[in-house]
Amino acid sequence: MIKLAKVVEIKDPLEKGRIQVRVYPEFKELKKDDLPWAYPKMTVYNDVNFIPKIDSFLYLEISEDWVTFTYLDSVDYILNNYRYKEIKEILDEIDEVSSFEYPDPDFKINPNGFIEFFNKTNKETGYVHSSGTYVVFKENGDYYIKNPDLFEIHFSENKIEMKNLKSFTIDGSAETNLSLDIENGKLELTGITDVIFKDSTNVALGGATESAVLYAPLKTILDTLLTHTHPFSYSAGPTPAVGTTEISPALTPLDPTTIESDQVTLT
Amino acid sequence: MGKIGKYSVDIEINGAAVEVIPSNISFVLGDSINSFYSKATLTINDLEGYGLESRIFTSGSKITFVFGYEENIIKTSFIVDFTETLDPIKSGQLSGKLVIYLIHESFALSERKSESLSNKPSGDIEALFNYSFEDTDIEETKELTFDRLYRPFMNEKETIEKILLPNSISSNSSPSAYFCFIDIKGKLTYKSFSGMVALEPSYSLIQNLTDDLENYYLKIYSILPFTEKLESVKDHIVYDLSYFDNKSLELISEEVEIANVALGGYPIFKTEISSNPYFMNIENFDYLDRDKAHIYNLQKDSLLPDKLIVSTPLFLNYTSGKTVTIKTKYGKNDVSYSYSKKYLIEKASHLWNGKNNQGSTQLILSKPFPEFPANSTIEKGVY
Repeated sequence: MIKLAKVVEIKDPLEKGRIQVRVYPEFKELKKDDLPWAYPKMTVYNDVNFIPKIDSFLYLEISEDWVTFTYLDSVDYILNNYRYKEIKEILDEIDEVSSFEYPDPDFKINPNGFIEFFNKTNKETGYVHSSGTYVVFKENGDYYIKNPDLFEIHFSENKIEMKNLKSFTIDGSAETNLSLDIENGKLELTGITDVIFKDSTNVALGGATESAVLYAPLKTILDTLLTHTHPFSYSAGPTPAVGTTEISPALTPLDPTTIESDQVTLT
Repeated sequence: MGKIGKYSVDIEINGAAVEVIPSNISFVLGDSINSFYSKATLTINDLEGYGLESRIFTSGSKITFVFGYEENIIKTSFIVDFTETLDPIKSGQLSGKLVIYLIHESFALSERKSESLSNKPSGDIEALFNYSFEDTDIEETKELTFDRLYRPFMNEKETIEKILLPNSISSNSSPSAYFCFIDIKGKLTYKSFSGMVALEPSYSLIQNLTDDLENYYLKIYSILPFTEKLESVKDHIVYDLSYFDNKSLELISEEVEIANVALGGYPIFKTEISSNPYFMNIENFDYLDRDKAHIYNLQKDSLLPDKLIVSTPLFLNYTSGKTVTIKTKYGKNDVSYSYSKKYLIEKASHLWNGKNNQGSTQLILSKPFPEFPANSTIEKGVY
């Protein structure tokens, strides 16, 4: 049988998700200590663990001999609790949700306000968090993760678009990361040992497009290294102190055959 | 009325003695292991319609019978449940045979209420009532594996039948259904089938050979070797009990002992079609014992298929739940080994027939464990 009950205690001494309940009207007068503990009833396929609030009302399934008491842990059976209009107001504000017209969508509202929806007609599905962040999946597989005030990412076939970002970081480890500070116009590579422009035609630096891999300046440098066999002086450090000149050891001639074409294009 | 020969027959209505013509009344006082309250029927030839006009037999009126033979007299009270009038004698006038159906007086004291009980039905049984009994016979039950039972706004009878009986397993006898009833002497019995049939016979009955009231019967009215319909038995008797252990995920099967003991001898059970394994959907193994008790309780109607209906002189000590032995014969005065056995009194009815000013007792005797073929052992006490 199904009976209405009020939750009077949720701290289950056995920590098995049981709740102590007052069944109406039969147990209206019983002392709290004498009231039964109801077990949650859940399927292995919908493993939702949820403990109702104290003083909330729910429906219990009770055996004919009043020995077993169970509650459906993910559902409060409350009359007139169908909240379509309330959810529609929220979803109408989301551009990516193309339709949420009664009776197409199924939806679920978790106790913390988290919304899950599924439109049976156009197959759109998604989630809305109470912070305003939402995820919308389109039938073709496109999906959006968006918070209108914070970020917007759109995944589609072979493409990821990110908008409204102030920064973007790929944090590989403590020593290696790529950080793009869009707001301050700064790209920072930390611990990146190789930067490879492969099969590139042009690389734009300082607003101008230069020949690939700045071929001419690089060739000059390499030629110098090939021919320079004498010691030369340099100033140690970014701001050398006056009079401190050190002599470097002689350079070993560079063997051009060790420069692989995959690394530097010389022709 | 008072004395009629060696019989005592007196009736009080709402505490006041009533003068009625003995030949105009008949009544039956009865108890049964299958009925919680003992019941009675009073039939009055209301020739002039005074019984109807006075409305003294309205529902709720208390009727007390003082009834017996020689020194064996009881005083027992009932409440009018309902009445009906049959065979009007005078057209257009109140008259006819007034039949008054009565239920034991404790019914009037019953109350609906909610309370929590312990986890031991035999400990709860007496505490349910706000009145006491002349006598009690309560067989101890096991403590259940959960904290408590509940009485959810139920009266005593409902609580016993819906809450306590289905959760009772004897702590002494082999597992079997429990029965609870109040006999016409006001004794409350709460006992398992195994506990009742294990009782030593109270009386040994032979046919018409002695003036000793306790030890003879007048007639066997009916012999019912198998009162159950085969179809019903085939569909309802549980032989094996299976359930999934949701921890080991193994199927566990147990034999339901009482079914095999009580009914296993019948030829129908030798056939494969009679097999009726029962599968329990166990949700919580804390309740396994209770679930087994339910199975035993469900089968209680089929436990006593062999019945005799026997008439004896009026003897009010025959009450339901006692055992007796019967000696009967067949052929050329040969002792019947099939039917000269120990029987349980399933129902006892004590009759006053005003037409011939005579009392009698009619018993439904049920044989717990028939054998096929009958063995040649004469039950202890049968001579």
